Amino acid sequence: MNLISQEVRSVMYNLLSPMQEAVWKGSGGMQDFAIGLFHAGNLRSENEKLRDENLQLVQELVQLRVIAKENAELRSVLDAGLREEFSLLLAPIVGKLIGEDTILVRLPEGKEVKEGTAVITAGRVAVGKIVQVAGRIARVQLLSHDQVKTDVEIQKNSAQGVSSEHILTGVAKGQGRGALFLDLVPRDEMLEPDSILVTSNLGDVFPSSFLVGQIENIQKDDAAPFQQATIRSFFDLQDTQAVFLMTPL
Amino acid sequence: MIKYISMLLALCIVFLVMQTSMLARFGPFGFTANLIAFVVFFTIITGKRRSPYGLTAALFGGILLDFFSELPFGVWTGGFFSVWVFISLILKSHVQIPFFEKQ
Repeated sequence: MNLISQEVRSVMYNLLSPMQEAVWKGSGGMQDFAIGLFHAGNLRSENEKLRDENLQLVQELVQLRVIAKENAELRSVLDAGLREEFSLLLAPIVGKLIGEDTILVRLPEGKEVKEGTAVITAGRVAVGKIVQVAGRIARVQLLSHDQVKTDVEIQKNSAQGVSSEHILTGVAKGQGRGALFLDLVPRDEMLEPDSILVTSNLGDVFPSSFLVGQIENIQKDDAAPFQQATIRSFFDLQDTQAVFLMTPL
Repeated sequence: MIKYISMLLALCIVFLVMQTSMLARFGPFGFTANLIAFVVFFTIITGKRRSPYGLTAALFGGILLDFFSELPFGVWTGGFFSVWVFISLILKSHVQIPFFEKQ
């Protein structure tokens, strides 16, 4: 029954996707209109611009930390430059499944995309991975999906700036409805609010140093071996029209 | 009757598109209003006992939701069918709902 349903679902996705895509794009304009109606000035565009700049700055900071660490490790190697190993394919968002943290994206024509492909935004924010390809539509399971666990690296807000002495890792677990929480961080480690989480190279989907989110509320129990924290995700579905698929070269 | 059922099916498709795109995008805290469930319940409650409209809405709405859900196929259809059986065949046989029902 489930095998048949996947095939039939594929047909339905492809049939309704043009309408869904049009409504998804149109709703972006409606959102702009509604905000413009109720808020004075151009707060929205300024907010988006600042958010993009903020993400870029955060990403640059993360890159600086990663590069500093890599430089220390690879200084003696001549060809130690960061090589591009992936090509990026633009995929517009078509819709979202009902009650699930799974989105539908339209695949570019003539490109073969496999299940398990990592999905990111233009701001190098990790979005999720492809779990099913149905014709020209693919289902993307978001990091906040309750079945998704992502290895993350915690970038401490160190007063000394770029620090590579100790790598703190954990697991970002999806809770559904856009919520994420951090788990499996040893109790002895010092977690700081607003610390930035990036993907770790321990995971099998994302390369390292893609943005995931920021630590919000830290929950530390003396009886538990690990501490937890809620994560404020950098991925915002409302403001995203399209994502990028990372296919290996 | 065919005209009414066609309108019902078209309404379900339009609501499905809205539900999986616009409403899914702007739902607060990830929640999305289930418009199709609303149509199905409304049609079942306001329809006459053993009316084909309620059953049609339950089956078609359920199948549409099954397409765009990660639950096993048939969960929504079965659920709506059970609701139709409960309300239309059992509840309306034993409980008078004068406000909605004009039999």
